[in-house]
Amino acid sequence: MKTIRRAALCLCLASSLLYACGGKTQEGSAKDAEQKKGSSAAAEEKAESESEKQGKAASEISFMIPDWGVPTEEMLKDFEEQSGVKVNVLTTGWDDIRNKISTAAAGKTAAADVFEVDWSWVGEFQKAGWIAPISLSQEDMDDMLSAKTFSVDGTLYAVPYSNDYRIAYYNKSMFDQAGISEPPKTWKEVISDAKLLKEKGICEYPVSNPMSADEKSTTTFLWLAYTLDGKVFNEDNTLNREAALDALSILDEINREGLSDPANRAVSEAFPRLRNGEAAFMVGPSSNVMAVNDPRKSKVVGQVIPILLPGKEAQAEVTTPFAEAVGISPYSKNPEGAKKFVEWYSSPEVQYQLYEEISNLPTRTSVLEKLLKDGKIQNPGAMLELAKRIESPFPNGVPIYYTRMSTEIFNTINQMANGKLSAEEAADQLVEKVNKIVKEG
Amino acid sequence: MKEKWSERLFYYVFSLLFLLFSLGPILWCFLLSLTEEYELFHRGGGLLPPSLYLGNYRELLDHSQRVGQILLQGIGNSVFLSLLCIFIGIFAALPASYAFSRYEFRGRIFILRLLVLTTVIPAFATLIPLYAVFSKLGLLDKRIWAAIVYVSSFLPLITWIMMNYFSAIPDELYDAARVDGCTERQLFFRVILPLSGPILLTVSLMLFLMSWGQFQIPLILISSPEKRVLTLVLSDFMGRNDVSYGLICASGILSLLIPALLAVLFRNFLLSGLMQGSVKG
Amino acid sequence: MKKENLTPWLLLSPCLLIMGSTVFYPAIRTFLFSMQRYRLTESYDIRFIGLDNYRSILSSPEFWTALSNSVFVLFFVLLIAFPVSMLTGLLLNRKSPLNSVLTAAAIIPWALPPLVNGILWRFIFYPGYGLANRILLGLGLISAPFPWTENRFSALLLAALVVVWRVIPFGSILVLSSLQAIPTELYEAARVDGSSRFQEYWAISFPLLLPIFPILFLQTSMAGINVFDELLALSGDRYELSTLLVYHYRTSFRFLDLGLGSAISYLILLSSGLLGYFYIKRIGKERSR
Repeated sequence: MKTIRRAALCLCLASSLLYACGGKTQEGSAKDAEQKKGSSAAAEEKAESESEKQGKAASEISFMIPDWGVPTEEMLKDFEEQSGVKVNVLTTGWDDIRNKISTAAAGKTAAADVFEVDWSWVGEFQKAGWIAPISLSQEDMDDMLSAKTFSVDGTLYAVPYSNDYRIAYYNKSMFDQAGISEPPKTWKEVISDAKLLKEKGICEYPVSNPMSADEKSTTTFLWLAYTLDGKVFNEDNTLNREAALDALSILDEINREGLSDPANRAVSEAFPRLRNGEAAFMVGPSSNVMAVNDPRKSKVVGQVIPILLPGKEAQAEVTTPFAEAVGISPYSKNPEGAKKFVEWYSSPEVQYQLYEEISNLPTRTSVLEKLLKDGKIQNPGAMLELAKRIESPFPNGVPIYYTRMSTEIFNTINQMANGKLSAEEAADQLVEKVNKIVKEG
Repeated sequence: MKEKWSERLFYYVFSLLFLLFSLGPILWCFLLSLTEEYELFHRGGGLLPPSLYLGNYRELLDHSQRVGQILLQGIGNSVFLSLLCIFIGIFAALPASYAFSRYEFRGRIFILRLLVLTTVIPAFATLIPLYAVFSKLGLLDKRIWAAIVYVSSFLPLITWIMMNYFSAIPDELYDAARVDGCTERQLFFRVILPLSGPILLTVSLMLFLMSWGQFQIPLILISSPEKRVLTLVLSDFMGRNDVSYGLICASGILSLLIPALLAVLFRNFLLSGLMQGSVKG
Repeated sequence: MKKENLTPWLLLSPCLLIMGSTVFYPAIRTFLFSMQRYRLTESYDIRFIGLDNYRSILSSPEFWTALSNSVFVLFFVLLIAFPVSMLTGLLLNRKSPLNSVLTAAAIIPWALPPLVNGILWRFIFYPGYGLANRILLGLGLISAPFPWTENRFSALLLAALVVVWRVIPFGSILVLSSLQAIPTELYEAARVDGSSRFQEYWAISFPLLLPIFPILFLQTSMAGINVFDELLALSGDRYELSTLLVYHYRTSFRFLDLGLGSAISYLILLSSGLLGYFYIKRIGKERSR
């Protein structure tokens, strides 16, 4: 009995083994039918193996992008009709993309023809030779202000598709309740307003800013220092101590006065607090403009107004971008197709569509204007104005050692937030560690 | 069979504690999956979410939704890979463990120790060169090769376990068979193999579960979206500013159904397997 | 035991083939990497630098912090997981209607995908209103939410707890199947002699379980040393909390410094290997009775 059962099992497994070795067919798995969306893409998607890639190179490209940048099926069909290029979308988690690109590059192959390039990667990708230069018209460059972040030595290496710049938000109803009629224009005002809100019991932790040991704390530090002092780094890329100290002191004061949720020191979810109604003031990603008015996500619909960022003596004149772009691999076997795709993906019509279909904020100022005119965004406040004032905090482009530097920065900020360092000590430590990394290059 | 009531009590108390410890977090996961996104971070609140939100499950179980499709696909791929793993693993480990336990040969102890020591090699240390080699040989993205790599991480362990099992079989059994005129081959297939039911079952379960949870290997070695396993698919739900925790928890719960079923089957077969495997000569 | 030279090698061949090609060869390649200055992002500048990578790691405070963190976690994992696995295995061994439920309950933590596991525990120990805090507040045991992950030691203990939770299924299944292999006649004979259940465990079950101790120890230790996903999920990428594997991940995959990363993985290998060697010194010397 047992032997028969075992033999049957072996037979099953052996056949599935042979099946797997065969490799060509589109088998999903050993279970009931899944409805594959009846696209011809099903058969074509097999073209991951390199030999096939050679054969179909003229009419196909692969596109590695996180879930929030995937165009709809109709849009892709449109593109295929226009250009004759078929797109295989490889939806991949954001963190994993960088790993895949670097591992593929180690083997001198392309993980995909076109892939996501986050602003923080552009320095190292370019230096390593993993993204190919792209040329855009001056008009396009002017329309996409965040493109500046993706230029190195005057050459563009990736085209931004998802806009993300920092906007200041305040909850007008809470401020009204506390009797504050004007939103804060300087950080001193932010702190005093917050204290008032706390005292009156309207909001226990009125300010929400990241202080945890991850990337969000670094970006916080960057925009804060930049909007306070007009610079974060000196011309030679070393850290500017004065700017660092200014930023750190403000973060420290907010923390010590209990104006920001202590949980922000340990976990990275500082941004949702605004739309949960647990914070009254926040400087965060531009996507919040839509999120705070989305009844599915927000508890404070209609209460939050986007404004300019506060500064030292008056409102800040600029904001910093943390956008995402798409780049082309120099190992791509279909560079023309890739280029066509990138141009299409960043064209005004497609950017407009991307907003409508998947809520992706466009990087073209013209498209943003159109969206606002068409009333697609509620309560935009200072959103458009800020979009025109985007400036990169890096004097010489995003450095190749960005990841190492960022890890030092957020670790120091986290230590300060946990009371292990004073603002002065933190500034000293930052300067020492960052400059060491800069020197090593 | 007499049994003191104190022993019974101890048993039940311990069982209860154990169930709480094991399943408690899973229950919490289940609750999280029923919570609406913004409620997750809300201060205060009791143990239960204010209202049961079925949206996550609806999304996942809906075949027309992208999310539901990829989850199903992910589970299917994981099952497939795990089964492959069992097959290849046992194919390699069974003869090896028999060799170690039954034979005396030069280098036996050395090879055995070397094999077991490879458990300490972290997966990271081998993945990148492996990728480079696979890439050159065109072996990337083929599930069978990924399965072989999986197996290499588990092979020492299961070989060792099976070796112990075989060593525990008394010599008299072998001698008796030899007296009856069995060749080594007949001995193996007619006597040893039927006896190894329980251990093969155990080892299969282990192989299945260990490959079920693999993440790094498929991340690096498998790239096409339709071949992705469950563990990879889940990281899809992690956005940049917006992680859908509820969705991930719901997927986690759904993905437990298959292993849970296996656990029950395992238990039953293990018990019945033993009834037949008597060690009397 | 038969003395032969060809058959055993034949039997070993699939195993050796798999291990040789997918483990030994890449491991050697990694060793070669570890002696190079190899930053993935600067692949035009790969140089041989001998033991420099090792020197810089051994002199960096990060490494020693990571090592002590790993040892700390390992200690607690072994302390808790080992006895609990034994107890659970014994528990599962008993004939009882609850068996299926208990076995399923034992296996499920093992089957949870690591990502979900990390998120789950993150929410349990979320500062402010995670499950743990809610329960403790509800029971009146604490008056304000406890910041679990702020303190280095409590964060490491948490990581150990999560590893224990994950590893007990494996241990208990191992113990269970070993116990099941013990012929029931032995127990019956003992009972006829009038021994209590406790004596049964002590005199019969325990000694016959001895062979699996090394395996249990080794696997549990590896799980303890390799804790990684959970730490990152619980408290981010903090220097003072990193264990060896987190340190490795940061260097290899975030900083993309393969040379340094390979050296770290070799140091991990060496330290685990040393530990492992003590455990396995005895294996291979057993004979069947």
